[in-house]
Amino acid sequence: MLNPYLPKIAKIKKIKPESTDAKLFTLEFVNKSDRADFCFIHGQFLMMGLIGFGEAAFDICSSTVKLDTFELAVRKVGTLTEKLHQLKVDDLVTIRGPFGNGLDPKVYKGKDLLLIGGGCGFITMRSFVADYLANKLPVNKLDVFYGCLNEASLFFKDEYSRWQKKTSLSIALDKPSPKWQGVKGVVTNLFNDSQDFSNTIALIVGPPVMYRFVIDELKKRGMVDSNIYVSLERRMYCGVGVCQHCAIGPYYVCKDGPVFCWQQLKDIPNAI
Amino acid sequence: MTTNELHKFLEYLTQQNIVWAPKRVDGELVIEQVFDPKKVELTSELPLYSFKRILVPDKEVLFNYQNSQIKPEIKSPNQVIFGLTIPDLKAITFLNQVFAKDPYFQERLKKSLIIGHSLVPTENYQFFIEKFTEDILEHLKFDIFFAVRGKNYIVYSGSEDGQRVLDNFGYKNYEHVEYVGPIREQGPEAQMLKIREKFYENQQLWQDLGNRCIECGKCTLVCPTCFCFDIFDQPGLEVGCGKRCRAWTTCFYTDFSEVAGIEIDSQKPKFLSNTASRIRFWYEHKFVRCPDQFSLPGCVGCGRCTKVCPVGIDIKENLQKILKGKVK
Repeated sequence: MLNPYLPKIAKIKKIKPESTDAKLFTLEFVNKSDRADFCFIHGQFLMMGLIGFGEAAFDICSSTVKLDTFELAVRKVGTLTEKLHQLKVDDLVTIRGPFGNGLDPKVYKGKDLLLIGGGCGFITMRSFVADYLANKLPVNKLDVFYGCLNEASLFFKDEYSRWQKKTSLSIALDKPSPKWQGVKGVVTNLFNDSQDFSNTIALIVGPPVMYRFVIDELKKRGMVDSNIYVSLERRMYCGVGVCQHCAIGPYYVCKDGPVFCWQQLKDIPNAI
Repeated sequence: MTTNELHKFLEYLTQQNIVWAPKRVDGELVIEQVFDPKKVELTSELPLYSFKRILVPDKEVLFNYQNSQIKPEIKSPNQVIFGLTIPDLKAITFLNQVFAKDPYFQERLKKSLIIGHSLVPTENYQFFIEKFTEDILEHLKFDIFFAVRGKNYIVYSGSEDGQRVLDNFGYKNYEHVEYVGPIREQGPEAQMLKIREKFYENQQLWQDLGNRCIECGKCTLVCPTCFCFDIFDQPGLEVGCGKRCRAWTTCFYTDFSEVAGIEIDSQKPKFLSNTASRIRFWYEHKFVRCPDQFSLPGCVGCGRCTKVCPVGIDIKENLQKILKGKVK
């Protein structure tokens, strides 16, 4: 019987500092067969761990088509992530997954896709962008909104110029330096009256406080609940819908999510 | 089978296996390991602690590690769990669905001979409890079942293991019942569906329970179907050595839904932020998620949670309030 609790071992190939307290890890499975088996859908997550320090859930932020290595961005927020930050190239981590439901390409095929990320939620968006730049994302148009605290905490900033050749990336900084020329304040400041979302699917990933405000703005511009998708964060242990930590009403974030259609969640208490 | 033969059968089992059975300790009926078959009580009374910790241990090792070498630890002793009432057999049947893909639970169940009986608890909890009839047997996970008829027992086998044990003991006069799955032909329990349908109507109930519940978590410990767990690493003494463990938790603990993030009033962010939301979560698991996932209620009506609750929260009363629906 397959044992869902046994992790695979992956080696760190590259570590890149991303912001003041975040690093991007490029990983490769040690076993050839694990490398060959690996595939995922945008929005799915992995349980990455360090032997002796447990595991936590991380969204995969690399391409779904270029799969020899994969990437996870880790912000230092607790014991495990602090330990992960001390690792060096060639150190080993444990990986389980991918788990859950990502955003099914059928949902946005041939439509415009608007990705709205807040804080760490922006990490998830990078895998969509990677495939879009390689002409592997079946969308009509890709737009990315990003709400972040300040310049120092921006993820992936040396990639923006490459992204902006094909996508529109709009950034709002809540507490920018005086030098900041762009939009100030929260991510909803990126909405304006000329936007038409009639043929658009939106995916929102961010801190709990962000969702309601963003959903309100989207609905003001004609988007219906069934075109709005959210990806949620919860405490997780098993990853396979058993341990109960990530349950929301009738759903499990690890198994039924982390990407949910807003239509599914809007009446469930404590969902966001 | 006569009472005398049953005692001989128990003696036969204790000679070769670890046997767990209901016995009285300090006046309280509990399921413990028995060495003297005469101490076993076959009664309609439900043991306060169920079989749960025998099949779903309070703490177990998932694997041992030495640096990045991982060795899973899937093992179970050969054991007998004797004298289970129908609600507890239902709980095993339920857990078998929950842990259908769990190699640790399945190994333990495979190595355990489950022996039930037909005496039904006399306390009337109204929900999900039913009297013994022969046609419920095919929906229960067991190896051997004793239907009490006066001073004698009608014997059923529910698995090949059960048949083998009875044959080896030398008892032939049993009837075999093939397990066909937990759901009856007529479909899921009507009462469960009704509770599921009306679950979110009475919002006041959770506020009231939130004011009363002291979050001791006793209900989750005695509940035969509560199985929430944490997973954590427990380092050993040698460098790089240790165990990854799985252990019971309860959804009443405030860290149950905690996530990383900026602390507010020295509290980490959490999604179940007050007692009302946590007690609703407990009921939601049993009466929303379990029905949706398995078409089974996460409650077998044993009433243990009511019995141990220090503030008198009564599951029967609360289910009745859910069924009444919205409070005007």
